[in-house]
Amino acid sequence: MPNVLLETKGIKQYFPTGKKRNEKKNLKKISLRAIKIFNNEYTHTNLKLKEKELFNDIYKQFKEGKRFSDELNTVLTEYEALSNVHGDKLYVRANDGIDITIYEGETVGLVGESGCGKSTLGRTILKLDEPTEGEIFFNGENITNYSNNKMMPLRREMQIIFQDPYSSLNPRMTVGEIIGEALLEHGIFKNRNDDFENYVKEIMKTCGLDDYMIYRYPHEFSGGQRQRIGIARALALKPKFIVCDEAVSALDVSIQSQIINLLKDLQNEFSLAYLFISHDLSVVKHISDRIGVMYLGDMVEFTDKHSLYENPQHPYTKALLSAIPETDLEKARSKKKIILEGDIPSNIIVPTGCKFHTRCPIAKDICKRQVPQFREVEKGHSVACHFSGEEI
Amino acid sequence: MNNKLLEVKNLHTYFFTNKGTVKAVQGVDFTIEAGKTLGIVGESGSGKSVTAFSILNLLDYPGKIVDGEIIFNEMDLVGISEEKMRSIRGNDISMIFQEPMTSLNPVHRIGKQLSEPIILHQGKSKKEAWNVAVELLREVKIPNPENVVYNYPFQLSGGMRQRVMIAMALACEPKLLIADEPTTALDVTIQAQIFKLMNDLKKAYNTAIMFITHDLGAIAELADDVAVMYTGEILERAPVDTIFDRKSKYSHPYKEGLLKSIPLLDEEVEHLDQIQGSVPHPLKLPKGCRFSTRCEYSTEKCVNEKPKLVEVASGHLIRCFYPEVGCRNA
Repeated sequence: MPNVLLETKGIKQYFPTGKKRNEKKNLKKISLRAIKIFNNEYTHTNLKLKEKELFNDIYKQFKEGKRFSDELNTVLTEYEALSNVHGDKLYVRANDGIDITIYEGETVGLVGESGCGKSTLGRTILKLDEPTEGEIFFNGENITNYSNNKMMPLRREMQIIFQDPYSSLNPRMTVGEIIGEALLEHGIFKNRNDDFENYVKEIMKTCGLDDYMIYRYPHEFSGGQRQRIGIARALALKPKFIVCDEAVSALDVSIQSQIINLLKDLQNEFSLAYLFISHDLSVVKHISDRIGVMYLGDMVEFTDKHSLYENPQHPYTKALLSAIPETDLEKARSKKKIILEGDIPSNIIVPTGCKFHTRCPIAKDICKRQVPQFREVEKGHSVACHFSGEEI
Repeated sequence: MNNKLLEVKNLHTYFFTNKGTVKAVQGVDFTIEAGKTLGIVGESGSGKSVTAFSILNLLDYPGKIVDGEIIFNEMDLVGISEEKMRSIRGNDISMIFQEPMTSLNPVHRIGKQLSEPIILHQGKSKKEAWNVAVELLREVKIPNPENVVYNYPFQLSGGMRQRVMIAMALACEPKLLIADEPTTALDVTIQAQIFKLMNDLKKAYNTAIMFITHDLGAIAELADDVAVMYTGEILERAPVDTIFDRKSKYSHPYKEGLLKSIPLLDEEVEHLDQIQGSVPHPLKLPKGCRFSTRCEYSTEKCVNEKPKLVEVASGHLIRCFYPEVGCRNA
């Protein structure tokens, strides 16, 4: 068993929105409903009471412990639940308690729709954003509360490749400066001498860039070449761990395969560990050893790639897999399609219970109330679903 | 064979820039029949979108159609007056753009934007058009359309905006719908919803669709015929079954490379096959076959002479000197 390189425990990343939860409209609606029921079922003595006063009266009695008919009770409970959260601060819940373990030299893939928190998790692991809660261990060290100064030597070992090869390179720096910046910053080379230049050229060569390009500016390169520059920059410090945040998504198919092959070659050469974030499931399957599926800030399924594609357990994973357009026509036509209804819900006011219940084709009552536990159903195969593995 | 809705013959569109003439589209021919979908696939810079803009006469300066005919419903659209074109655009031919985020007007309500073409082309009153807009939204499966018409674009999600775009394109029941990368910015689950919607609407209205994308998977899902474009030329054109038939006797090396470079879900390979190099600069196109700089089978003849689009089997056209698989030098 290879060593654990990185481990997170219950990472939560909440971004404050600066707004408070306003439930006035909903509370009003519920109170009107309650009055309607009350008027149907009970006769009240004081007919001159205004609606608002009448409701306050009922609600006060309910709070003091008086029980009305079942229907009215449920409405009043609903009112109570909402009035409790009214005025609470609102957060974007980007990550909602995520445990992930990455071993040395392996690739972990992360898939999910936009807004599910994949990129945030990648950034939080590198401590580009401080986590709201939870712990991060790198090489056995707890780095959660490390200051920037203390993080500095660790940053040599963890790097990131960004999604957009157009905006992630400084247009006023030459390629040599971009790749070499970190080398000078970390004091590997004291100044720009010949050794430094040769080292940068060597890195460029491993990434498939010719050494005469060292004095050129990013705008002189095509998208695929720029992504190679981004990879060279990440590799320059010889890290152990690289987060690839949608590293190939912006590229054309023919260039994409070049970059994927390059990433695989580099992994074999330097025994790198990748956290490969992408929304393209076929690419993720090709490059990863183990894959996590995320939905609305939660990990819903995590397993090695074979069991994910052959034996998906979570209904969301099944729907994702069936939605991939196939280039094999026979298979595409025989494949059963699961088309999810609706859009991803807001991750500020998240659905209760299982977050997926609003779109799930097999959702039952329990899904609305109870949060499913992320549990191991087979060895190394964890799912968060009450009805994991059930037919759709 | 008289149900050709759109026929593009030998279309040449050039951009006259300061640095030189960019020949974005060079000699593209294709036809679309009513109720059929033509998929146009190619990498960025292959001239797919320029072809679509040429058909709708939406080219901006310095772009210009230099040569060729675009015959729509027995009428040549090249050189037609702007006034006449305006009565066709959005009425007989409409377009879905790539970015649902930026192609809707942020300061007008959805209902107003939707009813605009209806008022303009069908001469309905504002109120009638508004009601049609609600019905259109219902048709593209937007929940609660009576309220959504009063919303502004920023209040809708990406998938819903793309549905609004589709509803707008369908407002006047066009004969031809041009969809330029309609799902590129969307997630896979939303993409699947949009594809299903487009397929259903195609059946219901018998609309012809010209579907432009870089995603071969999406083409396989929607198209009846496929044209593969590269640097402004069609390299291969065939029915969808022939294009994706991996055992086909004839095929273009570029398309073969594209198919091989997509990782398959049920296949285990250590290394993906890749096409070397990148798309040539539009001002420095190779002299002979456009693909010769990246083709692994390239010969002297390929570098110096230009191949023609030849019909190798019925309905299957390939622009290559060696279209037969297995007959090329390794």
